[in-house]
Amino acid sequence: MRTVSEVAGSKEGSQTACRTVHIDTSVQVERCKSLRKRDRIENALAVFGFRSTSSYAKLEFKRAWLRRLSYLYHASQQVARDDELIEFINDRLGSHPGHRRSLTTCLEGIAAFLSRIDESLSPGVRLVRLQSHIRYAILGAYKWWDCSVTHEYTGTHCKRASEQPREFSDGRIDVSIPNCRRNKIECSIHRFFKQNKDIFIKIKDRVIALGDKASLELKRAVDIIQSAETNPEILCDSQTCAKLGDALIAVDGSDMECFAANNDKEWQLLSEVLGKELLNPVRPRQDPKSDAES
Amino acid sequence: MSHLNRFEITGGVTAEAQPIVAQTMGAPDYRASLRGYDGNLTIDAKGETGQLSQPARSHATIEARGILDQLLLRRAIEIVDSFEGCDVIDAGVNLESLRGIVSQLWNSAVGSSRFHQDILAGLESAILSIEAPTPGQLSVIREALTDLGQKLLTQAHVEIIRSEFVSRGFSPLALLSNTEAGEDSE
Repeated sequence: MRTVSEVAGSKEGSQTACRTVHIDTSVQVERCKSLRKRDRIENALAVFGFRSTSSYAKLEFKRAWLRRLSYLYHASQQVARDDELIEFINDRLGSHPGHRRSLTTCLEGIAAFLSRIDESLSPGVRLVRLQSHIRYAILGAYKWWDCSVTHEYTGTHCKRASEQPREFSDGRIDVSIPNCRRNKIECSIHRFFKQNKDIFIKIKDRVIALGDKASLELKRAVDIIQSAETNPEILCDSQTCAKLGDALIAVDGSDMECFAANNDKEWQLLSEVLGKELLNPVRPRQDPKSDAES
Repeated sequence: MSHLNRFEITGGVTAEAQPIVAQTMGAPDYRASLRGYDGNLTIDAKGETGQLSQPARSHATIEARGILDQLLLRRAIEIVDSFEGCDVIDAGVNLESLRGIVSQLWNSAVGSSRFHQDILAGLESAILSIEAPTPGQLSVIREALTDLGQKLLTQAHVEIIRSEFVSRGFSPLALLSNTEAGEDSE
């Protein structure tokens, strides 16, 4: 991880005039979830000499992507053949609406894998191969994360984000995210809030001004900010801090010139409040000609 | 670990290929300076062999024994060495051959150690995600193949290779990524 000044002084920094960007979880997930989108994102980010993210974004990445892959890994150990895996996962996740996203992620992962392997191996061999690839992916994800950015801001000192996926001696993989409680504070989110209280209040005021047009996530964040104004330590709870996710990530990267995110509903407002340019590198660039024609 | 590791070995693997947890302490670990290595964990192939390993051993110094199809590995290294100076067509042909060989290596990897399987997964993920490897990428692909030729591997070997693949631009998550544009994340 390097600082802006270090990058600015390097060859890479001078070539790109050291433009700076702060990357949200939504973009980081797409960078590794979809090959087609990845190329688009990498091209869009290439103009930035300094690319940062937040440790809190890493926590969300772990929750949204690595934990689901971990479930897939666990499921793969319960079946004897790769072609039994989809049925196994469907049986357990398919009927529950709350598991829809997990189910989708698992099925997408399997489909992506199966689309790129040959059928000449036996189902049992293919299963070991799939397990090895999932294990390799999960255990290498933090390394990838570190290499994917120039710097990671750690304003909240999130303990859960710092806990890397690991493998136990019996082959199980630990991607758990234990709950945090106010009676055992292990991060600095409350201090981070106090230091940046003015910015959080600006965010709150803007969301309130937006009224019904504000997204549900932003409205939830307003409630949390209001409570934290009088007692920041209420943030030291997993259920609470999660509701402030995007705002935490944005404020953590408030030194950057530009934000890169794929959830416009939240990030347009956050960018405006913090005075940043917003880039959505996931969305295909509009062709001005086709716009004019339409 | 699945029982398949023991019962579905194919591809003419000898008894030597069965995973064995090496119990020797003090095995040479020339990669001890591994960055980011978590020395508190232990890992071995006990899930595959049903043997109990000694607890509280350093992660990097625990070895797992296995053997992959040596003929295929030698052929793969020959192909990697043939990339130098070849044109686009030759590079494509070489890469496709390499992919075929790596795929077939899974037949012997099933009876090998988890460390062998992890390195093979990294190697396969890499060669499936490129069209024309750079010299730097070829270097780490060759290193992975060389490691796979060793009977004894440690977690440190896996970590080093994974780290080198990532630093050469290979995402460990590539093979689980959609090739098509999918649903947007939140």
